[in-house]
Parts: sequence; C-alpha cells; structure tokens
Amino acid sequence: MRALLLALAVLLATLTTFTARADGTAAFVETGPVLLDDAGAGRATLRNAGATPLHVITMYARSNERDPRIPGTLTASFEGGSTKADLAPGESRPIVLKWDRQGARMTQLVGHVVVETSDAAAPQRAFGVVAQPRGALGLVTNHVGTWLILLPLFGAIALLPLRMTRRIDDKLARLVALGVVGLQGALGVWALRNFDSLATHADGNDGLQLIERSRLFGAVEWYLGFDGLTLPLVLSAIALGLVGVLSRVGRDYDDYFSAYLLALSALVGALLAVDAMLLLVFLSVFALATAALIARSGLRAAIHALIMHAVAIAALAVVVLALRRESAPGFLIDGTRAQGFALPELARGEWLDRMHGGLTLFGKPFLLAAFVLVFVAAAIFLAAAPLHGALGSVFAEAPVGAAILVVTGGSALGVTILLRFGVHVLPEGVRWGAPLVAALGAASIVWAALSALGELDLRRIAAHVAVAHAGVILLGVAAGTPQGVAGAITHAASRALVVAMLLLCADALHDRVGTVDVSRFGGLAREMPHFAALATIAFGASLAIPGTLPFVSALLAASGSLPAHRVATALAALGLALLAIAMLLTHRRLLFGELDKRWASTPELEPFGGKFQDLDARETGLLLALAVVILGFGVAPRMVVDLSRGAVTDLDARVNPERIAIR
Amino acid sequence: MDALAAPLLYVQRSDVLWLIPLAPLLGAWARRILGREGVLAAIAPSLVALLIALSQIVGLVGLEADHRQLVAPGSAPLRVGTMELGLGLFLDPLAAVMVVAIAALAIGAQAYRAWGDDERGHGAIDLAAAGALLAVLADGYFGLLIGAGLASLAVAHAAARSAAVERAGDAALVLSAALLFWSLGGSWGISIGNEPTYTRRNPVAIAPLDPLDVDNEGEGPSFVPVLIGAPPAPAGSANKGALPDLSAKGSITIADPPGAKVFLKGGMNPTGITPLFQHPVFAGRMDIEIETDGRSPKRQRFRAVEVPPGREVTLVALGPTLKFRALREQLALSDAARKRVVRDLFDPAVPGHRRLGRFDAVTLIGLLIGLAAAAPIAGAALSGSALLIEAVVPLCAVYLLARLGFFFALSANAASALAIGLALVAALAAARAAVDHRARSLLGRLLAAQLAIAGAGVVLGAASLGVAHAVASVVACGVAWVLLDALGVRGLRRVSGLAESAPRTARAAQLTAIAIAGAPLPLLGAAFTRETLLARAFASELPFAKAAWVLLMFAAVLMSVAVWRAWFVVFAGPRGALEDPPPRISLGLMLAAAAALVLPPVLALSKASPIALGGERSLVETFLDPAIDPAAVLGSDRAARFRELGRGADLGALGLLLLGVIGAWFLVRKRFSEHDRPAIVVRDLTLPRVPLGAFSRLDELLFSRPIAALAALVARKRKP
Repeated sequence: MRALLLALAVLLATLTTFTARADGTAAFVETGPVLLDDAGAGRATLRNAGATPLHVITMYARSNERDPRIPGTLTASFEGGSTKADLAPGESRPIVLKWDRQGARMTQLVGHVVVETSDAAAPQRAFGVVAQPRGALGLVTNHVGTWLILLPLFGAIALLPLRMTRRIDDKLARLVALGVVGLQGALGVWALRNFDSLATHADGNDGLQLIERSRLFGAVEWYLGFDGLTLPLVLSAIALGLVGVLSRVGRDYDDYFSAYLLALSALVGALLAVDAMLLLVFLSVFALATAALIARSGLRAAIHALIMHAVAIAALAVVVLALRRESAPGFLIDGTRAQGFALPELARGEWLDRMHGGLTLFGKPFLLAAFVLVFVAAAIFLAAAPLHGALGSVFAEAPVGAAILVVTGGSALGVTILLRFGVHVLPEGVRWGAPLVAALGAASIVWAALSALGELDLRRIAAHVAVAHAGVILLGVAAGTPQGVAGAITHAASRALVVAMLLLCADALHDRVGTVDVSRFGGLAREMPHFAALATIAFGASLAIPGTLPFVSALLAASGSLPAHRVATALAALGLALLAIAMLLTHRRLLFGELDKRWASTPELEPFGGKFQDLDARETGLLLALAVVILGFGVAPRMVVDLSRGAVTDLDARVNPERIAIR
Repeated sequence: MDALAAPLLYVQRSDVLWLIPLAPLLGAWARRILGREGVLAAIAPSLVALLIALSQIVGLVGLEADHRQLVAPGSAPLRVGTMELGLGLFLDPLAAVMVVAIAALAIGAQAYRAWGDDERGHGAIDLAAAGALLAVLADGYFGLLIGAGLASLAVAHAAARSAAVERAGDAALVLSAALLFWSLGGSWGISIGNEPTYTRRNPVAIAPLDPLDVDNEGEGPSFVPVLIGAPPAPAGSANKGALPDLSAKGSITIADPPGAKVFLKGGMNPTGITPLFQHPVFAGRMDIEIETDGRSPKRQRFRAVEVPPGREVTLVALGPTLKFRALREQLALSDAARKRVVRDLFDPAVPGHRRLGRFDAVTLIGLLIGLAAAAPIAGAALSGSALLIEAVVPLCAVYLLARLGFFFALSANAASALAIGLALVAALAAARAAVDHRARSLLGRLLAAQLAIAGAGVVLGAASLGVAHAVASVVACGVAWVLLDALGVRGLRRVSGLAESAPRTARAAQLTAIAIAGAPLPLLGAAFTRETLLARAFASELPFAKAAWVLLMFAAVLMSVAVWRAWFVVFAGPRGALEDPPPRISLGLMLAAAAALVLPPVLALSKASPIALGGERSLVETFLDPAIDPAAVLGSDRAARFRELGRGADLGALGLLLLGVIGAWFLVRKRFSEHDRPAIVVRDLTLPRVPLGAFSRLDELLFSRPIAALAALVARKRKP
C-alpha cells in the first residue's frame, strides 16, 4: 500500500514536471512566447496562413488602466510604426515590440500582445511576451520556483533506490536531504532578497513576481509565481522542512526521506502554482506522499489523512473544473486561445453577474456553491473543526518530522486555497460566506480549547492547539479587512512554528520514557531545566502570549475581525482564554509539582541513574531555533507581516472594491 | 474646511530609555556568565536601571510641566491597513513614578534574597522587573502587553496559580485594546457586509504619522499641500451629532516633490506622478504614500489631514491608535468651533456619540480594563507566595487604569460600575484577609484590597492619589511580607509573643501596620492616601458612588482588623521562640517601614489632605496631574463633574473613617492581645470538579472515530 502510494506520487510529479511542450499557432511563426532583449526590444512575425488576404485591424498589448496586466508600457507595431496592415496569402510581416519599463516596479514582464484581424473564425489572435532580467545564473534565477520544486524532487528520486537497496544508510540519507533542503533555503533567501513586498496588481503581471510560465499540455500551464501570500508560506515551509529533516525519525524507514522530500516538493509546488490544475496535481502528490510518510508507523492514520485530503482535493477539483467550464476563453502563454486554468484569468470571471444571470452548480447558485466547496477544502487542510479528525491520530502515530510537515503543509495550503480561490477568484463568495467562516472559526477555537482541557496525551494536545489556531486563521480571512488577511497569512506560519515546538517537546519526552501521558509527569523542571525553559516558550506561544509571533498574528486577525463579526470574535477570545487555561494546566502538570519517584526504577531511566536526561544538542538546537524565530518575530513582526503588504492590498481590493475609490 | 487644531506638544528624544528595561536583563545575563554572587551582584542590574531612570527623570523635571515627555522611538512600526503596532518608549510623570517604584521594589527583593542566603530566583526577579519596566515605559498597548507577558512569565516561575489567573487579565487587556482601537476607528473602512456607520464621520487629514518615525528620521516634519474633504456640517444641523461630515467626495492636490509616485491605499493611480492636481477621492480614511525616486525607492506614508500651506498645525494622526500618546493628542484635537471632535465621539453627553450595540463603548472598555486590573489582583490574593515579584503585575494594572483613566470622566456609568466592582473586590479581599491564618496569603489579600482601592480612586477622579496609594501600599505590604518571612512566620496560629523575643522586628512591624491599616494613627502611610481616596468617594457625584464608598469603608475597617489581628497574634503574649533576623535586615526594614509611614503624607500633603483644604496642589498631584488628570487630557469641561471637596463632606468622611478604624483597632486588641486564639479557617476556594476529559472523548467520538473506522476497514482488508 505504502509503496504503491509513493510510486504513484513520484510518477505523477515527474510526469507533471517534464511533459512541457509548446504548440504553435497558425498566425504566428514563433511557437512560444517572444523573449525581449535587455533593452526591452523584440520581434515577432505574423504570417497569413490562409488562402485569402488578411486585414490586420489593430494590435495592442493586453492591458488597460482598469486591469493593468503589463508593467510599464509595451508597444507593438509593424515596422514603420503602423498597427494596421494587409497581408497577402502566405505573406509574413515582422512585428516590432518595445517595452518601456520607465516607472515600472516590476523587473519582469509576462503578458500578451493581441492582434485583431479580419479572420472571421478567429478575429483575435495573440502571442505571449516575456522579458526577464538576465544574469550569470539565469538558468537558476529565472527559474527559481522550478528549482525550489525540482531540488527536493531530485533528492527524492535519487534517494529512493539507494535506500531501498541499502547502498546508503539512514545517516547519509539524512545528510543528502539536509543538503537538498539547505539549497532550497538558499534559493528561498535569494527569492526573498529579490522580492518587492509593495508590488501589487496595479503594478502589472497580476501582482506576481519571479514568474515562470510555459504550456504543459492541453490548457494546463507550468505557471509559477511569488506574491505576498506565497513567499512567507514557502519560506516557513522550507524552514520547518529543515526542522523535520533534522528531527528524530524513530525506526529506520528506508523510504522516509524520499517520501519526505517528495511531500516538501509538492507542498512548495502547490504554494507557487498559479495554474489551478497544476495546484490540484501538487495537492494530490502532497496527499499521497504524506500518506506514504505516515503509513509505516501508522497505517490507519495514513488512510484517515488520505481520505480527508482526497475529499478536499475532490471538492476543489469540482470548483476548478466548473470555473474553467464557465469562464471565457483567454490566452495561454504561447498565444493559444483556450479556457485555461490560470487563477488570475479565472478571477476575471465576473461570477456575481453570472450567478445573477442564472448560473448554477449542482442546482444551487454558482458562486455560493463554489465557495462552500472551496471552504470545505480549505477547512480540511487547515484541520478546522469539525473536519479535524485526522490530525490527532497523525500526531500520535507519525514520526515527528512527518507530523510537522503535515501541520506546516496544512496551514499553508488551507490559507492559500481560501485566499486564492475564496477571496481572489470568488470575492463575492467570501462576502456572502464570511459570517459562516467566522462562526466556524470561533467554534473551532472554543471546541479545541474545551477538548484540550481534559486531554492528557501531549501530542493530541498539540493537535487541539493546531485546531484552535486554524480557527484564528478562519476568523482573519472572514474579516475581509487588511488586518484580518495579514493576520491569517502570518498566523498560518506562526501556527506551524508553535505546533512544531510542541511536537518536538512531546517527542523528546517520548524518546526518554516512551510515553507522552501528561498525568504521569510532574516536576520535570528540576531534572530537565533546558527542556522546561523551551517548553515554557512553546506553551506560551501556543496560547499567544505577548511577545511571541502568534500573539501578533492573532491580534491582527482578531482586531481585523472585530468590526465585522463581533460575537464570533468575542467567542474566539473566550476560546483562546480557555485554551490558555488548558495549556497552563498541562504546563504545570508537566513541569512543576513532585516528580513521581517510581520513574527512577523504570527500565528507561535506570541506565541514566534514574534521572530524566535533559535535551541533547540536536533537540536543544531545533527547539532553540524555533524559539528564537517565535520570540524574535514576536518583538519585530514587521519583517514577516510586511512581506504580505502588496498581497494584502490586492486581496482587500478584491473583497472591498468600493474602498479603493481611485480605481 | 477649517483646520483642526490642538495644543502643540514638544517632545524630547532620549534613546537612553531603552537601557532602563534592558538593564535587568543584561545584568542578569552578565551575572550568570560571570558567576558572581552576593548582594551587590544581585541588586546591580536593578540599581543600574534605577540610576538611569533617575537621570532621565531629572531631565524630565527640567522641562515645562505640560511638555514633560521623553520619547525613545523603536523600530518603524508594523502597519497593516490602518492599524499600527509599534514598540517605542516614553517617559512622562506617570511612567517616572512607576519606574522608580518597580526598580526600587526589585532592588529590595534582590537584596533580601541575597541577604537571606537564598541565591535562587534572582533571574525571576530580574525578568519580572524588566517586564514591568517595559510595560510602564511602553508608549502603547503593544509594548505594555509584551512587558506584562514577560513579568507574568517570571510570576509563573514563582507562583503558577497566579500566573494562570493572570491569563484572564491578558485576555481582557487584548480585548480592551481591540475595543479601544475599534472605537477610535473610522478607518476600518467597509468590512464584509457590515459597513460601520461611522466610517464617513471621522475627521480627515494628512500628516506624517509621527515626527519621530524612523522613516522620516533626520528630515523632521514635512508636509505636502493636501486638501481633502468637504467642510464640516454646522453645529446643530440635521447631521448626527454635529460632527464634521466628510462623506462627500473630496480631492487631493499634491504638488511636491515633483516626479514622485503617489499611491492611495497601496495602489498607484495611473496618473499618480506629482504634481498631481485635484484628484478626486472619497473622504474618510485615506493612506497616501509618496515614493521618491532613487535606486532604492523610499516611501513616506501620510494620513489624511488638512494642511493649508503656510499654516502651523499639530501633527496628529487621526484614526485608530494603540499608542497612548497619540490617543491623548487626538482627544485634544478641536475644530474651528472649538469642539473636540474626537473626544466628542466618545462623550455620552454629546448627541450621536459612538455606541457599541446597546452598551456605551467606553463602559465596556472601562469594565474590561477593570477586569484586567482585577485579575492579577485576584491572582495575588490566591497565592501570596513571592509577593515581591507578584506585586509588579497588579502595579502595572493600576498603571494602566491611571493611563487611560480619563475615559471614566466621560462616562458616569462606566466609572460607577467599575468603582463599585473594585470596591467589592477590596471588601472581599479584606474580608478574607481578616480571617486568614496563613501569613503570606493574608498579605497578598491585603495588597489586593489596597490596589483595588487605588483603582477605585483612579476611576473616581483622583488618579494621582490612586497611583500614590498603589505605590505606597506595595512598599508597605512588601516590607510586611519580608518582616514575617525573615522571622520565619508562616502560619499565624503557631506563633505568639515575638515582641519580647524579636523586639526590633516588632517595632518595624508596628510601623508597617500603621502604614497599611492606619488605626490607631490613621493619617500616616498608605492609610493617608486611602482615607483621602475614601473622602473623594464620599464627595463624588457619580450615581451609586455612595455604594462604592460604603464598600470601601467596609474594606478599610476589615483591613484594620486583619492587620492588627495579625500583629497581636504574632507579637503579643508570652515570650515566643523566634528571634530577630540579623541586624542588617532588621534595620533595613525599620528604615523602609519608616519611609512607608512618612513619605505618602509628605508627598501628598496639601489640597489633597482632608485637613489642609484649600491649599495648593500636593507634590504628587503637581507632578502627575498634567499627565493623567482628566482635566488635562479631556479639557476642563468634561472633568468638571468631579466637584471640589466640600469641607463638610471631608470632615464627615474623615469622622466616620476614624470611628470605624479606631473601633476596629480596639476590638482586635481585646480579642487577640493576650494569647493566640484559633483563627477562623475558611476553606480554600476550589474549582468544582468538572469532567474535563468529556470534551476530549466527545471530540474523538464525533470527529475522529467515524473516518478512523473507515480507515481501519481499509487497512484490515489489505491484510492477508
């Protein structure tokens, strides 16, 4: 079962990545997008492939003031400056392109030039135009998204046979994985340095940066890009991916690191995907790879998680297919006119007007039904109540690294689905469903807090914390205010950090005495002072104590939500107070009071003189690194939150277009 | 539209302020690295903090009374939409008093631990001191919450039970911050399906966010000529509340600097290159960013304000703020008709003031702040261990009440409700103290009662005296705690007759008892400030203020009973077995007790004193009032509700009080002076046993089991 899942995931990912091909069009000689040179100049050739004369009515860059797709100014004309011409059958005529980037914030251009002709069958034809900043490492820097996906995928493919045939041991496999994720991290930092957090949709390129776009097959494109939503989540995924690689695996699983790298690759791919079908493929790979990751230590948990992920992906697939079916034809990057899956194009669907015109999905108003499906998918990935059932068993049974990856991926994917589809593509849907989302967010927090109150298994307590924090994310998205959206994005990252710390604490205890039953502990602060200090930070962060990153993000989400959803926000605050009580009770049970003297004579502790050993160097390093991040960004949150400024502005404008009077 | 105006406030920059909260942390770290022990090493970090604070306070006192503010801006604040979270510090008279009190308290705590040969816990005290110093120096809620969080962590180290209770206080703090922010708002814009009705009713303007903002560092305040919005509706018009109605479309004109890009709400207008003439925009809140040219473009953010060229204006960022200083400036803003436009949004006396559902927003904010103050106090009452550390957290709560106390002058309902609530807390804590037989928890409850009285005083309009009472109470209770701890007294029933065996301590304890409880000399120590506050409560015209006064009187009498009962039980009777601690501790305590006894009356003597009516303001009031007096913040018209004390009211209150506390003293003397009697034992409060695991099991049953069963089925089928 596990091997089947893994093989399927590898096959799917590999096929998706390497099946890119480019088709030509009848009207243009070039078969792909036109690449502009450093001066912003380029040429395309228009050919009359028909048997009758062709009249070119006009040509223009596909952009306007209301919907600025092109950064700066792109002009297209025949030689001599005219945009009109008559072409005899078989005649070709060069088109001169000039990109004036004066005043443009973006350094990259990905767009289309449209040519209107007298051809009745296809009066509009287009070709793609791409301009990239060139550099010595262009192969890497112009394809940073692809490399972020490929590096772990290569690692996974390389490690699988080597480990299966026992040619390398677990230690070497870990080193390879570490190197791969380290390289990923370096690329992530490069992306961060070259990312402009203030860029918005108004700056062109649909607000995306470091874009890669080429046609894969049919209407599916390899369309990747960074924005203020993507970048912080990708960086947190890589950082926590590194933590997962370094954390304890437990038994020697031969395919652990392959599955781990594959899941990480799919996670990054899903976050970067701008093409909805590509996103679905990456989600599927992520679901299969995480199931394979969990399956060896807990088959039931793996199947449980797989069932839930399958439901989420199916719900999202229905929405994607329905959106595509009902959307107007656009242009792929090679100029092909087709109903594509690009999210920015799907977002231009005017779905509210279409719904008022009678458009339905499963017999229900289209917009509302689509939003409900999107919300279900997001809630499953976020593990928000009542769709959180798999998380507890995954945390309890999976290796700690796998559990960290699941919660990191769940946070990032859940908020991405909700914001990309719910807010960006279906803004009227989120306006309609906001009270429901806020109510479920508050209910999630209260329910998780109540459940955590009586829970004694530390891993399951971490699961309840994750569910409660998922509620905070939902509350922020439902707010529809800049504060709420920024809070949701930041909280997706901080939630993963906090739960990772709790899981690492639980793993440290489990490694020493084979149990995480809180009721059996007490007084650990005396024998494990370093553990006590770092666990205190983890518990403090889990209840969003001031000075930690979750405090900032929860404060943003709650203060953003307060004007729109007063009762839900008040309930959420009550839930967080209950969660605080639960976590403090656990903290006290674990660290203070008297240590049970019977521990001294247990086989686990006898070799150590009957004492609990404090954290070793690896455990200390991992927990300390997470603590520094949580506390550091807690005091200086601007470094994180500001990354999303442009994206927050765009998402705010989508939900509240009337607020931007100037547009 | 006429320009909005406010008094110009000059602030002085002093980055040295950062060293005050950092000193305890850095000192603790250095002590640990160097491995130093002893009294000097223990007190050095807090002593350094105190000395730096005193040097800054000297500079502060040198400024004009109305401009006493030293500011240390932090990193550029986080801005999301219209919300700002920034961590900066500012020292004004209120912060100065609290900083000195906290640093001195920390020094005392460290010295006692070191002298008592107890080398543990220095780090916790340093952490508590650093957190509390940060909390009272922070220029807004963000820093206050971080500081309180740090202090709470330290308390968790010493008293986990109190720390748990304090989380409720944190939650209330956060909620009150959010509510305050929202109430000030108008800039939230149109939220999903719920457009706030006040969105279009806020004054609008353009001004740099903060003249000391690091974005503008070195450039000083700079303006571009900008004009937004229509004129305000004339007073008394049909427009609700006669507030400036700026709902119409306005226009912006930005001429300078030429060639800069203009972004509105983060989006660039296609023609948004300066000079930009007469671009139509809605009034209401509008963030404007101007990006100047250069290789690394620099953006300056502005907020809407009307700045006619060539006119001097006040730099006030209008709209929601979590910064105390900015809030105060906003409340002082007035329009051409001399109406305080922002303040009136909150003022129940102004028709059309902002309401929160059926409740007055300010009432709710007040109650939440009160809850935030009461929670740590309750925490202190619950535990009582490590009182010196715990005291800093409730002190921060009283500080917050004083900092935002001017709100209560706006709402009689809020003030009454909170005063009665705090008086009830005081009475209950004093009642429990009066029958408590454990020394530490008795003192914890006494401190709770004192701080609740201080809080009630702040709410009733005597903010400066309330702060003085809080500080004096913490010092006096701290001295009492050290006294009993140094003697080794834990349970009151097991000791007696220590006046003979430990005479020095008995004298110091007597002074401390007078300082806390008053009787038989009610006009000394914290008793002095307390009785002045009681006189204020008696004279207050607030609805139900008399009920609060009765409860506070009851609390005062019970406190006298508790203090003197403890003294007689411990020190009276045949010679006991315990002896004085070493002279260095005894003498130190004697000095501290004498200071606690004498300083409050000296500092607060004059107009505030019931026996010195009509005099000038006291030292404490002269120093603190410009910072926290409602009249200074809101204008005298809104603070006039608290009428001046009448001689009859004062004498009546004083007479009743004297009768009460002296009667209590005689009662206690007779009851406990001869020998130890069994105290009345009150069973500890225990939470009812709730089956806490029920939800966890239900969670698994409802949401995990069904699909887990399916998963199990699949897994089973795959087995051979």
